[in-house]
Amino acid sequence: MEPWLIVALVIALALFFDFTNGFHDTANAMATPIATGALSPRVAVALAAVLNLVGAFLSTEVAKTISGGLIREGEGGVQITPALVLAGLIGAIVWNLVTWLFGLPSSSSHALFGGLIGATAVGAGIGAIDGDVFLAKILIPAVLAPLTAGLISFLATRIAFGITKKRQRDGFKRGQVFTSSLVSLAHGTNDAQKTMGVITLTLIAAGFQEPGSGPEFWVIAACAVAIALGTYSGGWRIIKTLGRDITDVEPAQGFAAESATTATILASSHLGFALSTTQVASGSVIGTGIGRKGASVRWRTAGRIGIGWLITLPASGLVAAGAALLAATGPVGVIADVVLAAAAILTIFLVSRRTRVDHRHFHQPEPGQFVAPKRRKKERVR
Amino acid sequence: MIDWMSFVIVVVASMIAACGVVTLFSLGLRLADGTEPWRRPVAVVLFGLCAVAVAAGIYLIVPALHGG
Repeated sequence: MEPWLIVALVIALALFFDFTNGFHDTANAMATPIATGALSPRVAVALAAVLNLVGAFLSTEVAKTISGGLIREGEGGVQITPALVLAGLIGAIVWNLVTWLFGLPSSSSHALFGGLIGATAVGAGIGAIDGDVFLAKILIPAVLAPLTAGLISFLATRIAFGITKKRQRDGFKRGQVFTSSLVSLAHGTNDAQKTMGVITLTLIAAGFQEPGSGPEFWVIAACAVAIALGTYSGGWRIIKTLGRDITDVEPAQGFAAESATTATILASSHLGFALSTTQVASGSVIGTGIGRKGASVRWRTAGRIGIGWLITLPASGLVAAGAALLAATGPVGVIADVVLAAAAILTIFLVSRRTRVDHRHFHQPEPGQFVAPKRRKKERVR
Repeated sequence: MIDWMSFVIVVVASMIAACGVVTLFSLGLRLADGTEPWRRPVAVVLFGLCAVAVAAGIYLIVPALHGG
């Protein structure tokens, strides 16, 4: 098979993965402000999209390994071929779409890692995967992230409700705009980088780019646009799960949960203990549900999300392993992979049409209003 | 294998940051609501401190600002 053709396919799939990454993660930042009415659904996704776009251009350092050290890449390890990356991306995309269909907030990075692990296990044997790194980077953080964020969010919720009186709590909506914007910006700088890394490393592996050089400008721009478009299209199903289904979120809770999310993500990315944004955000929402008196957490929904996290990695790994087996048969297999992936994407899209969830599902008494100015005016007239 | 020390640091740092910001903002909201003349300026100062926290967040997010 012509090398440029497979590289072109990898780039196309990587950009599509970036798109799914965007709409999968809109909820992390924007589920609670939409739920409390701090931002109208349309404004929220537009804001998140712009911040992701800006964030993608701000990120300077692109991942040095495709798998983040999970697979022993490079010298003395396995060579991850473009065909394996292609199979891994197919696994990640399909799993991202399946979890979206069920409205589950699952980590896009885990889907990508799972896909690459599955593809590599087929291509180079299971020994190519670093088990210790897997435990330290994926499994244990997946338990710690929601616990940490949940605890902090719980405390912050208690503080917010302890200090303020009921009639003052609408003011938290203003704060929510800032906290959720920070989450979006952080997401843009982190997640677009992953796709840039995958594309750049594939270009290098195929000999189209100098080893050790950074991403080309068109790669940065394409990734930024893909993630922003994905974010703008809004994963409404996941927003609904996170903002509505786990617990009913009030403005004070939204502010407390997002502060916890922002603080945890920033601390984890700067103090050397990486945590998944999706898991942190979900943990924060659960924590704030426990923290408000009279609020209840729907543990059944929380449990479904937890199961989603557990199977994300193996599931996308299995899909990718199947794709890698097919790709190993030669150029025809690679083409068959892409056709099958397109068919799967189309099927999931068609199934999703049966039960539409979109921005109209988020009824807000006064969309986009911080307070209720009309009522105040009337009072003044009197 | 697992760097528990850095995990504890992450927990403590994010707890202080999140609870600190929420405390400042909540106090600001509480003080902004009232008639005494001293309340409003104090609330403005508290909100200002929250703005500083947001600026610190942006500083940490944008790699060009912290030289990484």
